[in-house]
Amino acid sequence: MKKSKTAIIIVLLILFFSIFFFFFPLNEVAKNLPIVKVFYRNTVLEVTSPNSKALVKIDGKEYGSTPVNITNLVAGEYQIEMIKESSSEGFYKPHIFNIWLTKNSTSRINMEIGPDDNLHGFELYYTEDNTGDINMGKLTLTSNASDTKAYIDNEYINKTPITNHILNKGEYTIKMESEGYEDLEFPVVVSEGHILHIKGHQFPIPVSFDIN
Amino acid sequence: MGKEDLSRIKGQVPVSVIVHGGNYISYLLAKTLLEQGSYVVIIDKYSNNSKQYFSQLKKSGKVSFIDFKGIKGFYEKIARVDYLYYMLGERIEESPTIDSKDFLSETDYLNQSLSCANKYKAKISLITSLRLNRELSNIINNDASTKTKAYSPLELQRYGENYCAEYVDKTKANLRIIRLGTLVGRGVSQISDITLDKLFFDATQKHQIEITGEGLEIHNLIHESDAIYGILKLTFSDDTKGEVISLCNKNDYSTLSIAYKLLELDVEAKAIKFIEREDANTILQDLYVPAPNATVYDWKQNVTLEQATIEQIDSYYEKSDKKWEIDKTDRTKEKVVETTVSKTKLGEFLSLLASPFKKISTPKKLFEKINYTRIFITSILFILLLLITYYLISPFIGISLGSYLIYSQGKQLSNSISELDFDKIQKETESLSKNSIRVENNFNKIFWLFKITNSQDEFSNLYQIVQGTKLISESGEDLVVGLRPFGEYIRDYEPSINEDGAEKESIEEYKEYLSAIKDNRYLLQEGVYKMSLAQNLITKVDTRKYPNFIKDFVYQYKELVNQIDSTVKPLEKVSEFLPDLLGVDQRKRYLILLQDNGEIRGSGGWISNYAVIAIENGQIHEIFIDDIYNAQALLALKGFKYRTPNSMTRALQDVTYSFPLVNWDPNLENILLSSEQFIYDLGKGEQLDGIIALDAVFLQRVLDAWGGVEVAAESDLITSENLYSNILEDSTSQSPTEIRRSTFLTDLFNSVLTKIFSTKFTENSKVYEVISKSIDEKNIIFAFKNSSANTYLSSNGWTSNLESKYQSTPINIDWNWGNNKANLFIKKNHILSINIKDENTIDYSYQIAIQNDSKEEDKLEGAYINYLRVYIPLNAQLTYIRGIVDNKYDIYNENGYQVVAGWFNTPIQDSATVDIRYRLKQEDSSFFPIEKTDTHYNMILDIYKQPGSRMESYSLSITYPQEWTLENSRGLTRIENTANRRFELSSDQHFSISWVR
Repeated sequence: MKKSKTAIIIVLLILFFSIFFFFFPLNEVAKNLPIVKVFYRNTVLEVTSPNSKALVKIDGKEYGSTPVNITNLVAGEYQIEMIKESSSEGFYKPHIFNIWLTKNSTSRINMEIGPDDNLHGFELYYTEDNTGDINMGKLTLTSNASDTKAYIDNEYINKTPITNHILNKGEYTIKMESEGYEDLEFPVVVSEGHILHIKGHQFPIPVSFDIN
Repeated sequence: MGKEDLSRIKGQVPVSVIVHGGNYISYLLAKTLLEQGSYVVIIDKYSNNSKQYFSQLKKSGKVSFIDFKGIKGFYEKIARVDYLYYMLGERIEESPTIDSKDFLSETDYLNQSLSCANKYKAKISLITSLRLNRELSNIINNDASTKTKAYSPLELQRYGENYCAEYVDKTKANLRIIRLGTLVGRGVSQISDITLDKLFFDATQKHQIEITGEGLEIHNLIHESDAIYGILKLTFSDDTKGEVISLCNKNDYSTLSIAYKLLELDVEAKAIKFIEREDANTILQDLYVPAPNATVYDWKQNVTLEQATIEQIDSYYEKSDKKWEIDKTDRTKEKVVETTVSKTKLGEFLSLLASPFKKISTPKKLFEKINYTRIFITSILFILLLLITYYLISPFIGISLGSYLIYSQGKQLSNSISELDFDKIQKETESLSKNSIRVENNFNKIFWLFKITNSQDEFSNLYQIVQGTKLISESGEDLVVGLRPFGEYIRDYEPSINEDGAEKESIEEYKEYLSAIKDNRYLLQEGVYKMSLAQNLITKVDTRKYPNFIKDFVYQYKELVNQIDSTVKPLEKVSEFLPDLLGVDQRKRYLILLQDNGEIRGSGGWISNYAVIAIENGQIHEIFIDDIYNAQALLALKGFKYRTPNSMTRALQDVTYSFPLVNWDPNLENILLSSEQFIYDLGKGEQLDGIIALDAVFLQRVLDAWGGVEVAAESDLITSENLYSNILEDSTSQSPTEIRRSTFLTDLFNSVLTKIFSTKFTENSKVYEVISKSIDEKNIIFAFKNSSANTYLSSNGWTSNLESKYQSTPINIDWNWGNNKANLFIKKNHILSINIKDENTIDYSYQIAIQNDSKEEDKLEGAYINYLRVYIPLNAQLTYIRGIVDNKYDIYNENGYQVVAGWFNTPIQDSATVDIRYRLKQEDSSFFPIEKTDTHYNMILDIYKQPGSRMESYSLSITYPQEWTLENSRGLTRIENTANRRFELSSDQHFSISWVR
């Protein structure tokens, strides 16, 4: 009787913990625990627009003009709004980007804002991934243009979207080419135990007409 | 007690018989059995002592007493015995002397009892005295020559035990011999062991405890409650069958040690006095080896020696006038709670589960019993269990639970979507998203399992599905929030006009909805982004690695994801221009043309009517519908003149360009720009923001969907069947250049548009199906000034513009100038042969064959008088033209194309063929449909379908050099070095072909 009682208790405990682990948001709670939360604030967000200035808002709160470097935000998903500073009011639309901040990593938006919905640059962020091999990381790459060819260190990989492309950890140069769009090239760091997400945005090449 | 009484006992009530049951221990045993629901029969002599116990037990009503005189009759009559407790030890302890009569009687009782109990397969326990057994053993061990008296308690016990042992051997009865230790406890008024009785008496009544001899005699004690628990446990257990068991505390105690224990408890006596033994029967050595202790059979001593001793001292004090002052407070506390609390079955179960934690409520006791090794082992086991749970069991439970939740929530979501309940949709997608993340997290937890089994590839393959599903649900979450304003606009939209076409008094506007669509666009972009990643992940899944029984599911899932992806992608694009088209910033004005494709023209058919509608903040603010010949007449009256396009002059000579001929140009964008001037001159608006052209096929489909429509001045319901007869009745013109007013068509156009625009979006589902089909087949075409909208429509082939992509194949544009509906009676066959000579040269051969099934010349049918235009690339070198009337063809450049034009007529019941051949050569900055890469030749062919055309078959054949290897020719059939396809040209067609170089 005692043995069966113990067995029932163990089974119930396992069930309880299994359901508890399923529903309980360990990470979310950990983020708010004293001392532990420090580890979740080890984040960096860089927002740049190389040839212009843009006002940066994060979840509606202003953080000044680009370039902006914000550290120690709690890991999680954020809405970054970029409003290009221009003398002609309303010519450039504000743009919102959803980006993840992951502990011990740097997320970056490097974006040039053009008229209408035209953007040129990239959004880059990391997410944790414990399913890879030692010294390996993964890469996910997309582009706003269709049929974009992706190159890593000048070696053609595939057309976008590319998902879970496995690479050794280290530095690489990403190049994105699409017909009718300007090329996009930038350096990235692939880190072990992370998936590097890159969203590329390419300006369409202006069409020239011969006027006879 | 007989069969009659026993028959009243229910079958499940056990019957227990206690022989020699008129003593304290038997009383306790009977009481416990009664509490457990047993029927108890006590057999003993009816004495003052036993009477006292029976009267107590009688209160329960389930007990019977039998005197030994009636034992024989009882055993003969009884129908069932489940348990027999033969208390031989108690019988022997009661009387120190036994004569032959007693001996014989006892053996007879024993014999009868065993026979009866065995008859009913009862469980039998012979309870004897451990003390007497030890005494007997020591006598024999110390002096083998010594013999006990023939009729003594020792001999009776020895006889009883031996008889039972032999009985088991003979009959295989379910019998055990239980040697019970010396009983102590509160209810024991006098201990049966003389030595111990004296010890307790001295301790409670004298100043010193007198011990005769050295006090080394060994005693086996047992508390009364432990004894009852033990007797029952050992009797109930089948493991004890045929065994001899010692039921007593596991530790032996000497007289001296018990004496010291008594002194510790601050009794009356304060010292021990040893007295020299006078008799010569000193036992030199206690060599007694007791039978296996009851602990072997999971019996456990519950009352400590100290507690038992205290109770026994209490009992001795109660007999005397003296009072024991020790530790009164503690002992009274134990007596306080007398209330019996009974539990329900559920209560008992919960109590059972919670029993391990009960000790926590008495921390003092808990800490007294701390066993650090056990704590360590328990902790290790707990941590191990926790790790196994976290990394193995919990993930599997989590994946199963999460998958179930996703599945059930997905079903709920589809219901909510059909009800357009956005709060529910949003909640359910959020919940779906959370659960899919949970499933992914759980799946990650079992990565180690795949790693140690070297199955990472299988993990990756499965993980793609999990990751993809998570992305889909996250995408759904973004899309729902992003599309909510649009969905709410559709749900809440109230038309500004009534069914009769009159404007409503209060008009709702939807600026906030439209602004929200714009503001939420980034969410749609995010949703589309995630969906494209999901589609990429799931498409890459290697289905071969899945077990057969789920392969089909994976295939279906892949297909579903592809469908969702192709549905979702356009949403983001549409959200870009939709608010603008619906006038979020300023009023937008659109021209709607009704074209009769029974009489085909450039953009679809003869234009009979037009409408101008203005939309602002998502609401219709103006609607004007008229006969296009009214407009022509009005403009002529006002004196407006318009320059006739050159190509029209060359084709139709002296025809005056007017609003009804605005679709001479097959480019809808050009028609929009040309119409703008007419509309401006008519005073219907300064500019147009877009044009929508509908044809008669669309009208027929709408009429079918509605089952007909009422039209002013028409007595019959207008349906798709009687549509043309009404059109023809109304037609009076003799020549295509005449004014061709049609009151019927104007009224019909008015009724249809009013019905569409006065109906709520949610109630127009049938019309949307018709619209969707008509857009695909170009029975509805659009052109907007909004470039994003135009790009989107163009990419879907929903516009009617001769874009550069169509240069890859010849474009055929017909213009019926016969003033009849001959297009309803003709069959057309296109034959296009593309002969790729080499990587720089392609020969095209294009034939159009028309068969005219018209039977007579009237307003409906007749000769097909058709001005044909074939658009080919500017750099095409024409090599052959045949089939044009009188071989008088015209060649000119228009809309970025080279046009071959001329009359291509087909008489009644006749057929005609036109044949045009040309060559394309790869030259700088000129069009060439083959693209060369390092490894491949790629060719994309886009075939243009003239809006309004019907019943056209198309035969495509591509011949390529023998040395080229065809790699991709989706939709084409390959025969040697030719790829073919025959199809109905119901919409624009796209082919992508590639060869390995």
